[in-house]
Amino acid sequence: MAFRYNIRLSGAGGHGLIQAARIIAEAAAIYDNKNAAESCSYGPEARGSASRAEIIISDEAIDYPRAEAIDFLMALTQQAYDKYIEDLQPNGTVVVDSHVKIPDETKDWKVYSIPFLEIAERECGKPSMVNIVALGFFARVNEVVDKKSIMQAILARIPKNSEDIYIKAYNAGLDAAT
Amino acid sequence: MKDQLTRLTERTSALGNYHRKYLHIISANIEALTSSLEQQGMRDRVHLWAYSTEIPGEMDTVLEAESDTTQKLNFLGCYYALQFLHLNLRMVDIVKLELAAAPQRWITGRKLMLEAGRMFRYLTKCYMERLLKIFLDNEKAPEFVMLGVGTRADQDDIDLGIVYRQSEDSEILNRAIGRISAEMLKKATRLHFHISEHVGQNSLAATIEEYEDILAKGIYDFVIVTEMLGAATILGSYELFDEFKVRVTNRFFFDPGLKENRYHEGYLRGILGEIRSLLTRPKPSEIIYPKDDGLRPMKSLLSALKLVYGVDKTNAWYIIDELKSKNPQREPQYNNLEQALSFFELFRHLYQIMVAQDEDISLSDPGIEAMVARIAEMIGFEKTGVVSAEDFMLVNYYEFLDRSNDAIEVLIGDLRKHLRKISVFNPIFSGEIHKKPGFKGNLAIDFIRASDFFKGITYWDDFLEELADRDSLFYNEFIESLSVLPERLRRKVGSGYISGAKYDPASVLRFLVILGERAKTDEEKSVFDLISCLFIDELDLLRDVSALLTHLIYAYPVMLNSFLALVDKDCLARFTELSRNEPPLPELQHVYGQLPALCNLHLQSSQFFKRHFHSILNKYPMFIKNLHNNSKLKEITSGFYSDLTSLPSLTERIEQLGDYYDLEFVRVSLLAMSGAPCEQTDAEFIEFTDNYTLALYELCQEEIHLSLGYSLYTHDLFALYATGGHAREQGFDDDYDMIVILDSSDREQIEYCNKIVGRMNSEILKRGILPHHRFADHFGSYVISFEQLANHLKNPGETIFVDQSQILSSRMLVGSRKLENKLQDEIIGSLIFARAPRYIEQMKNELAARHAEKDDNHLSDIKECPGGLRDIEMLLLIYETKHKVRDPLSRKFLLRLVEIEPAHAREFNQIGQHLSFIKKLRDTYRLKVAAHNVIEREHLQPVAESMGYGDTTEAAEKLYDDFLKRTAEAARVIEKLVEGIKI
Repeated sequence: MAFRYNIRLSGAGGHGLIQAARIIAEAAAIYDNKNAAESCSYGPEARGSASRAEIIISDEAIDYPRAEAIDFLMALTQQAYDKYIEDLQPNGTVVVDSHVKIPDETKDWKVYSIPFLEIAERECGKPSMVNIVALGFFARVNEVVDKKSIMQAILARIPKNSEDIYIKAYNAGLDAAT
Repeated sequence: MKDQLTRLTERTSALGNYHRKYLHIISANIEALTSSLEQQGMRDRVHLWAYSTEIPGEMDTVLEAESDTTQKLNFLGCYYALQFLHLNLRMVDIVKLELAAAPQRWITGRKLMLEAGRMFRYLTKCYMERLLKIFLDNEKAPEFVMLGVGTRADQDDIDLGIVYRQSEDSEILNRAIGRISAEMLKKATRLHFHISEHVGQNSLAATIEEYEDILAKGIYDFVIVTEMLGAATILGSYELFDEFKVRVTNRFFFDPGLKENRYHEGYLRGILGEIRSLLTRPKPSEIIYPKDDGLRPMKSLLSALKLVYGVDKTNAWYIIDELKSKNPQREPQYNNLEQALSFFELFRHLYQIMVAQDEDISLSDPGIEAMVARIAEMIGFEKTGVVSAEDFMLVNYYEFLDRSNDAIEVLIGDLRKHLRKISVFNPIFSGEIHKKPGFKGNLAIDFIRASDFFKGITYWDDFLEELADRDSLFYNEFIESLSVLPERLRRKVGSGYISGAKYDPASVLRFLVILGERAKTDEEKSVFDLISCLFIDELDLLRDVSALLTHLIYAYPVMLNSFLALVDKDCLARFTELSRNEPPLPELQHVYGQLPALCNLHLQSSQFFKRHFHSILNKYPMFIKNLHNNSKLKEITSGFYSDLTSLPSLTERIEQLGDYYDLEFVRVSLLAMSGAPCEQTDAEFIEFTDNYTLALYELCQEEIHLSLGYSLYTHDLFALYATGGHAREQGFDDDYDMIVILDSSDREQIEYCNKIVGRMNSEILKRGILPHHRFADHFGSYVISFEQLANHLKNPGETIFVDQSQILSSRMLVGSRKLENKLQDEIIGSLIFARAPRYIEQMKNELAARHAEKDDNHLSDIKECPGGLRDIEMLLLIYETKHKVRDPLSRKFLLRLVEIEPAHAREFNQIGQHLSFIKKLRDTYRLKVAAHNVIEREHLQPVAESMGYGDTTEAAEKLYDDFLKRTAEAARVIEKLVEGIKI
């Protein structure tokens, strides 16, 4: 049976999740030679704080790049968690920032609560690096995309001369998973 | 010798990191591609290491070189990647060449950006055509057209809209598009299907019927409409695109022949709201966003204008060209837009090629700063003296921004007028609808029904202007139409008016402020209360309420402040609760943090404080933005004071001086409410009131001199003294006790000075402070002569100690040192200190008598209770007389007494501690609860919080108990000290 993995990253505008989604998609498609598709919304609702991006990774051609049943959900805000958790498949993985409150009953999901925002601030001095910390965590807990490919895709997206801080943020995310 | 790939890699290293993706694709495939081309004898037909002008033919040759489909895709992707890099390297070279010495950069910028867009679109079009052919694999696809709907030169992604004609073969097309998308993500530029994602049913493409269906439901997403209106064919059926325009997009163009232009109006409302939202959005400092700062507002406006003037172009520069000829009176504004557009597009494009494809540029990041400096030099800016090329370019950035915003403002004004002329709401605004025979409608309901089509639209200024217009009957009719409805229906209709809060909270807020400010009758107030309450209910349900509130506090602080001042206490408390949510983003904390600070001030401050607060905030909204940054507020107020002399007229100076007082009053109050020690707040309070009084005297003197046409020499003869609280260096009094003395009995001089003081009084009154002139009643004049004062104090009456105390506790603010010395010698020395035993005896008697017949309620009066402020003040006056010293009656004097009478050091220190506590409690109570002297325990909770007790009822009880204990203890110590005084 064909492999298909649906990822949804969600949080507030400014968390850089659309960029993170592009990085995952490019890492899978360009550096891992898988099939990938990515989509995000720019409608009026995305001009405020809501932010959502989806990536589909598959070993077959992806005819329609919309993620429906989600295998991996990352929610960096409470609003995002509340809004999107219902789309998570049984046995899916949910990763939240540690300030997000999750109920005791979480079906049979794998649940991770990590202080991404705090790590970004503490390790990089820049809250805006939260997406890269989150990518590091994603790379460590998920084997769908190779860690090195994600790093390559990050380096291909960032401004020159800023590599050090991105590597630091990525490694902080990797370490948060151990 | 270096091979071609190494050379290309080296050249590409000057470009942004995202070019690595293309090098990766080239590295993976170039050897096989070259080898295949050589084997087929086609190598010389393809430009691999140079920019090509024969792209379609060369792509076909590359495909011919291989028969396997996977390898064909690899070769084609490799060729695309090569040409993509050549395109950008060539662009950089041309920019350097053409802009280095161009006298008018924006003309060259326009030319270069049009060329960059054309070439990039051409490359992608050729690539996509071939991919489509491969993925369709000879299957028959339905008729379709692929439309480019974004900026042509934008390399981050390609925004596409795909329209197709429904047929049994639709699935074939969708599959092919999905594969093109995946292939381009891997090897080229990613595709983004915003329109189709929102319109098509489980498809990346949509039929004309699907577009029609979605528009029939109303204008709910003007972003999609903007993309539709900017659509240009990339490939596919031109006939289908023409049909799409006729059936879908043409309805948005203004047609003067139609009675209603509903779609046109809906789009204009949407786009006007969008522009306002872009221009007012919160921005972190040190970050620039060429796209959101300049390009999006400009392009949104152009998209609206082209519908009004019937311009059928899609490229922004070409739209401007045509608007100039169709609307020539606005040519200066279009010229400004054209220049700004060229500048921002070029700068953004170069940033994306050279640095990263991010839209936000952080100037504080050293790496990025260096790259921006390089771009500045490329564009032709040069370092001059100490000013860097980068700084020159940023100055240009903001100049272009100002010019484009000015032009946008003018052109938006035109759009507003146009909207007022053609609006479907006009019959409702004018009342025309009600005049129709047999009309049985209700204005409030009619408006909601008529606006249903425009759901999600964020521009309702015309409705709000009608409602605010005091010459129009619209407001009265609106209130009446709501009031006549049964309660349940009134709530339902009221909910309709706040339902747009999630899209446009500012318009809803403005609506509420108009209702609140105009509400005078019970009926009007009840409508305001109901809709305010519904608004807060609505906010409570929104997931992203903190983002919405951040926008309000950032862009509309005055309006938000007015709303908070108008709502009832329950609504205010609920709104304050909402403001305690997490900020939408950590970097917006500096904006969001202003909100709870403002709410708390409304919720937990006295009318005494609010009186000053409201008087200044509407005039100086920057104060709201810095409520939690007292040192910044201090900078602002100091600037006001220093700037006084630069104002041209006396009237302006006096007005600004008044503002200085009010601003400082609020600033020091905020400091006190935040828990600062009263020694600090008293010192700061006295500093600004002294500054104010001195400057006010000088300005009023000058004004009287000008109005009379002459001045009298009074400098050595005049002195203005503060007495009472101001003299004791005690802040937050609501009166201002003064004594004005003139060392002359000349009537003309006294009258002259009376005029100055009278003028000062009227200004002081404007601050909400009552000036009290001691002795004015007695002598019938604000100004008293030295001789009158001396004679008065020679009077040995039973109550003379009261007036003696006023003089003894006075502090000179304005006047002559000579007169002060004379007062010290001839009045304080001779008429008070020389009669110390009598004065002290009278004061001791008064101290004993004051509390003789008082009930327990008296114990809550912080000023008059035993051990309260008055007792401590009297104790200090007794000691001043005993030791013949004249100091402000503050804690500093108690410290001096410790040195003078070390035997009583313990008692003086105790009194000092009690005085600090009582003053702090008194100040905080005045600012947070009420300017009363009676402390009510049930209102002490906010005071307890400020004073570090906590915010519980238990904390408030503890504070009250401490107050009673401390005053009782102070009374005991005072009694002991006074008993021991022997003269």
